[in-house]
Amino acid sequence: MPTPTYTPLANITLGSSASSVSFSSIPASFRDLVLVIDGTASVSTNVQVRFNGDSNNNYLYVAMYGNGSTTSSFAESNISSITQLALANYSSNTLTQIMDYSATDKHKTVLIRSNGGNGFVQATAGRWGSTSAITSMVLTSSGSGATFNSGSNFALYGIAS
Amino acid sequence: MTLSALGIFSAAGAGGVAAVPDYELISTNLITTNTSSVTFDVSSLASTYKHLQIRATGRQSASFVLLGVRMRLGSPSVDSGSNYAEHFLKGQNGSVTSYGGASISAFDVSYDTGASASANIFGAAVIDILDPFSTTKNTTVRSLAGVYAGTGTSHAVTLFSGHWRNTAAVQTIQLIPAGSNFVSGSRFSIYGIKG
Repeated sequence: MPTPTYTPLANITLGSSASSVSFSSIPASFRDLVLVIDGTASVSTNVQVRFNGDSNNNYLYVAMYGNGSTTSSFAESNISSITQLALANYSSNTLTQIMDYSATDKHKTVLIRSNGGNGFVQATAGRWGSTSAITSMVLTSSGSGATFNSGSNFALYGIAS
Repeated sequence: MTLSALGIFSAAGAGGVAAVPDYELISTNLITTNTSSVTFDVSSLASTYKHLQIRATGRQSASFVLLGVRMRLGSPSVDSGSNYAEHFLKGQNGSVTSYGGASISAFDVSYDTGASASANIFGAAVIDILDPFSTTKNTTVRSLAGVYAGTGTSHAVTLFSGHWRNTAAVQTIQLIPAGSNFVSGSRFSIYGIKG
């Protein structure tokens, strides 16, 4: 019997600027999570994600990027977060697939597709090097003093299996 | 100011959040022993769904760090002829590359890790099979896939596009590991999207 899913878990639209956004008490009852961000920031910055409060160097990612004139690919390992997308005073958005987030026999692989309103597209594959089930995540901005602007939206969905 | 969604999930746990009814889980194949391919029979889904999506995390038995996953389609039998084409855009080891192939017998949709990757690391993919039940269009598949299993060529992020040169309604979807077998812990879930 098919099971309706893509279940909305939380939907946050900022009523005022915020330096971070967090999701906590994420239930283990789904297979994957989908995080959708659409927003702007006070200054140019990157959105970064951490899981379960882990700020140690347990994250890795590879990305490819195009801005209409050039392409590039870059990777980072043993870092303290995964970069999701660049934000500034133009609207940008990202859709992040967090695969098998509650599995305790797998590191957590994330697949990210992001678009910038000033003209870029990016795809990222990242990994949190932990077998712990994800129960919380926090989104922060990398820029000094940067905040997410009012009106920015952060939505989290659960995908059953 | 820090904004938190703390507390919203207690409502979800109490059944207070409604699922979107147009995206449905059809089945999951969780691999428990070495498996040479995964096949979904979708012949009964044409009247219910417009599009299909496969969400996968995979690891293979061969002694490589990264290994490809290919797809074949069928109606009803899996088509192993040279009736497919593919393109992909890949970010790996500091460069972006593009590849295209035509008249091939299967098309790439994902990367898995292999036996040479560290334990617990699996590749991942979200694969969209667009309008597979149309009888007037060839079937197009796209996916976003990747994994970071190590430095150099041991990581990749890729946008894949595959194409079956056949207008028959898809009845069978097959995923084939490049490296012998999918191993325990790999999983393949298929979802239907109503139209």
